[in-house]
Amino acid sequence: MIFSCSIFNRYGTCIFHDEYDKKGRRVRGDGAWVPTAREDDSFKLTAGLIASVKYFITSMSKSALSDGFFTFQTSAYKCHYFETQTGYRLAILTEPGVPMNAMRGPFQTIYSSIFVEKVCKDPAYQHSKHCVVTNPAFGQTLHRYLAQLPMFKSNREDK
Amino acid sequence: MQRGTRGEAHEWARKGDQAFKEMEKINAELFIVTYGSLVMQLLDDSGDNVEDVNQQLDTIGYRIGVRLVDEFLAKSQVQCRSFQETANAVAKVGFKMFLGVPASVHNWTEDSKCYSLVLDENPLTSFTELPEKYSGLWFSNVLPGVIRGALEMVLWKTEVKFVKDQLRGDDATEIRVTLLQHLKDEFKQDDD
Repeated sequence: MIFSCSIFNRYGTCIFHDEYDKKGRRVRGDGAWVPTAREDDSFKLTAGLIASVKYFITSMSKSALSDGFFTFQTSAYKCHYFETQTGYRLAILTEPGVPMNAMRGPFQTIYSSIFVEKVCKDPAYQHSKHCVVTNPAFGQTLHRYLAQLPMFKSNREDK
Repeated sequence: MQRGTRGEAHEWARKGDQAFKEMEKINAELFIVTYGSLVMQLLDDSGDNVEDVNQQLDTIGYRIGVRLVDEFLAKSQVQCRSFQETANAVAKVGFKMFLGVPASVHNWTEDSKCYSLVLDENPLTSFTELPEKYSGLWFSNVLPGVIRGALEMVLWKTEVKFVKDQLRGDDATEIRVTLLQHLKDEFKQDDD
């Protein structure tokens, strides 16, 4: 099961967030996402966590990072993390049973076929500090793509 | 100064061809004529102030580059970890991918902070000649802007500018790329 997807820009601002309910529907429906105050705090925590873990990893390892991909897990969820060379950070929360490498391919597809097409090429989006994704087509396409992955459907209440 | 082996150069060329194949194609003439009209319009709007137009083309290019780099990285799967790598990435893959012709990398300085991109063929100028009164114009000045914008997004702050243009009667078309600074990754907890 995939619970949620968040995207941060290189400055640590959350530019997109989406959650999926037990039936696999989008919690907020198909409109453009606008962060609420409560969410804002949790994104700051997530961004802080990512920054700290990255700092930890680079300080501990003597060699350069390979591709910066990592996951971590608690008893309730697993966080899959992907970073582009341009500094976008994607974090997807899934149930703990999803294998560590399972999101690697999908992350690449999300970046190259969905994010680039629907966000980077959107004239309303700019790569600047506080610009969030406003194009509703991005969330819709992303949901459609995630929904057909096998790990999205597993353990959902009904299809 | 010569960098890299023949095998490496071949590998970059292969990546460029591969990326080019995957790109959506548009009619070249339409593209060239559109670009030409853009430059003419800028000249009209600025009252033939070529310095101004050079600057504006560079800014337009910068904005394009900032966006284009994501498509470039996503489709080419190229890494830009070192400044030397970026030279080949831009010349062999980037130019091939978006303009259909590769550039070549020349004249590295000793400290590896500066190189030239030489274009054997520049599609943007296919139907263009430069009248006397615009002799100060860098007609393709959008290209340095694109390169600067794209490199900045992968944390290489550079100065990029034309030094030679065949359109002006020079013997080659050459863009000089100078590394100013390797930017720091600014990702952190968002405090404000």
